Amino acid sequence: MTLPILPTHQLGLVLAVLIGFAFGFVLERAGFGRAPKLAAQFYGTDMTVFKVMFSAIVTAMLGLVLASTMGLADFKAVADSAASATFLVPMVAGGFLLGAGFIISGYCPGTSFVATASGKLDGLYTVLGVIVGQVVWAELEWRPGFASFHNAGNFGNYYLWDLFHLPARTGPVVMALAVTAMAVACFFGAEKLEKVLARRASPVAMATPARRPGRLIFAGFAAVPLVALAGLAIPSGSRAQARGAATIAQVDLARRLFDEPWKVRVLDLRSFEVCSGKRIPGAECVPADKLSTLGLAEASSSLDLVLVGEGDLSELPAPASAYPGRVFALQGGWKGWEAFALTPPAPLAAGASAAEIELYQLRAGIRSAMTGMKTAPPPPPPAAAPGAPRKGGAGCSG
Amino acid sequence: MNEIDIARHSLLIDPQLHIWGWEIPVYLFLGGMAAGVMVLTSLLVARKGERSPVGCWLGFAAPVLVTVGMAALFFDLAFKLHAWRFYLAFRWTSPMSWGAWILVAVYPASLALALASLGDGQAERLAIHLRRFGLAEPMRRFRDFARVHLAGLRWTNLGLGIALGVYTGILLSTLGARALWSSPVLGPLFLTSGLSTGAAFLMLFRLSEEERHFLAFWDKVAMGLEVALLLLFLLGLSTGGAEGQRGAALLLGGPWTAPFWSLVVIAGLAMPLLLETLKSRLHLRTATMAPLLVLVGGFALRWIMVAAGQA
Repeated sequence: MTLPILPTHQLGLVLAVLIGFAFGFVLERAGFGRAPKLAAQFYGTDMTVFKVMFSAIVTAMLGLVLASTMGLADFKAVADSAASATFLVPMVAGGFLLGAGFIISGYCPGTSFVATASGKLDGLYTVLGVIVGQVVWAELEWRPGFASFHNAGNFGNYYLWDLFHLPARTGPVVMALAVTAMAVACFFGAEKLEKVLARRASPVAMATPARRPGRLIFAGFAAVPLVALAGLAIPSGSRAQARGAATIAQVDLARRLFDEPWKVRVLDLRSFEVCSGKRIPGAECVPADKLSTLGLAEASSSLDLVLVGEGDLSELPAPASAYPGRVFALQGGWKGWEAFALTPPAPLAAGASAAEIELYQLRAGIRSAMTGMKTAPPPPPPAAAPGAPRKGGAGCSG
Repeated sequence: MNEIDIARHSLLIDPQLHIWGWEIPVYLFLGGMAAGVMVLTSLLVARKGERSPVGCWLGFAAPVLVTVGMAALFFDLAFKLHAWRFYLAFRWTSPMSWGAWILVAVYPASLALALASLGDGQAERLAIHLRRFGLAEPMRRFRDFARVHLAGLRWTNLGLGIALGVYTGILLSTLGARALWSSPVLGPLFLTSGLSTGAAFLMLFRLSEEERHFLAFWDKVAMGLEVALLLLFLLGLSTGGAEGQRGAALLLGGPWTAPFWSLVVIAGLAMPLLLETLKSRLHLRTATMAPLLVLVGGFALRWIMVAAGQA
């Protein structure tokens, strides 16, 4: 018996449930299941939500930026897949609407689930309101008039470093530093505001000022981007953003295409025109610059991905690196495949070994299946050496 | 050869592996929950101390749950008008025959215990409702009979509840050709799951603190046993033959891995156990959430076992 090891995709789903429970539990223990505490941030008397959420954002941001500079993650690939594209107009309107819903109900969508889990009816009504709102909007968004608003101000994946025209390499780190500085300033500003408005605070929503360790931890955030900035100087940094490409031999790909085509997805990265002319059977024509549109980061990992370039691929493109399953580059690319599968194998000399004959037959079969062209049969295998003459002549008695 | 080729295209001849839909897991879930309710109401009646007004009515939950479950089972029958034929014979080697007769026995036993559990005022209120159907007097006589034989009824309900709970698992495990179901642990596993879902269902009502504490104790015991039985179930399959390993692989890396571990193990067992354990220490309000999670986990267990077993 071997120890069961869960596939990445399945393990990810199980871990997501575990993290979800843990997140909800921590929110509940922090008092985020109580509407008065949540609503108090709008009155400036308890800025806990603001501080916690900003801390969470800064923590995630710094972790990702640091990992990216160390070459452990691809910041751009993660950001492109995890964050939605920027739709300026509907996002501004949605932000105001969410704020209004927050102050009316006392909960944001996430904390309403926490409140419901704590047995609070107002939390349950908020959850129902969120669901009804989403269903109504889903019915409206594609209708004329609403559709143009829904897609208004589409900037695509647009980041702060794009806005400030910073270089792609240093931009994320500089912006992380700036956002962290802003968060630290806001943290202390929120504490001041709580002190100023303390007399107006409701007893059920008392502020919880950070203690010394909390301040030290928060202030420590500022140091992390500096480390990340230094990380840019490390030679083995994130410039090697894409992971090295594992390769698959033409014969192995051919076997898989014949034996279990449902387990492999072939992406041809050459230009659309060239790929449309000739390609591996079942391959999808996806030019390299269009690869990000496939959403490979969210795709199921059940299929093995095989990338086909014009020749060998030196490294995997970033969108393919984010694919959760196994990714291979075809050895020799299209040229290698053409030489292997579309040209007749060199005739074998008489006396070729059984292994050579088997390979010849396989290639001939593949070529025949791909092109419909027959190949000459291999030479007959070498005759077995005659055995020693039997004593006593023929017959059953010998 | 030609004949085989032609015959295999007939839906009536070619074997179909996925033949059970939503009806069977719903029936197994409600049947198991009813079994748990029967066992626990027997224990509640045997317990000393005051009973809450709501708790006295909860004996009726078992026949109601069984009825809804049997309605789902009825929907699954291909020849619905032939259902009565189950009761023309008893085949002791057939789990379906056992189940059919157990379900029949559940009704009088659970109704008798439920009536005997009612206070005099509650019984009179029920009689007022039954008067328009001419059932008030028969109900009173039945209740008097049940009160006289209360001790025997408790044991009968306990035994029938265990039989019903085990039967829901054995129904699957006797179909040994299905790799995932080919395990003798399924009977006890479904019984303990039925016990925990039964306790969780009862805890959703407004019971006294003492009754709730009593049910929470049995809920935790049942969940602890269920965890152990699940481990035995997976170990048994994994260390068995190639067929068993293929069955276990469905839950250990196969397509049912994430639903099984997320819904059954984490949401349905680990979290309620953790919440119930931490409840008093952290002053958690788990009155509704922990039982709801147990119910979700219990339903998911049946759904996944039935669906994955036919995969």
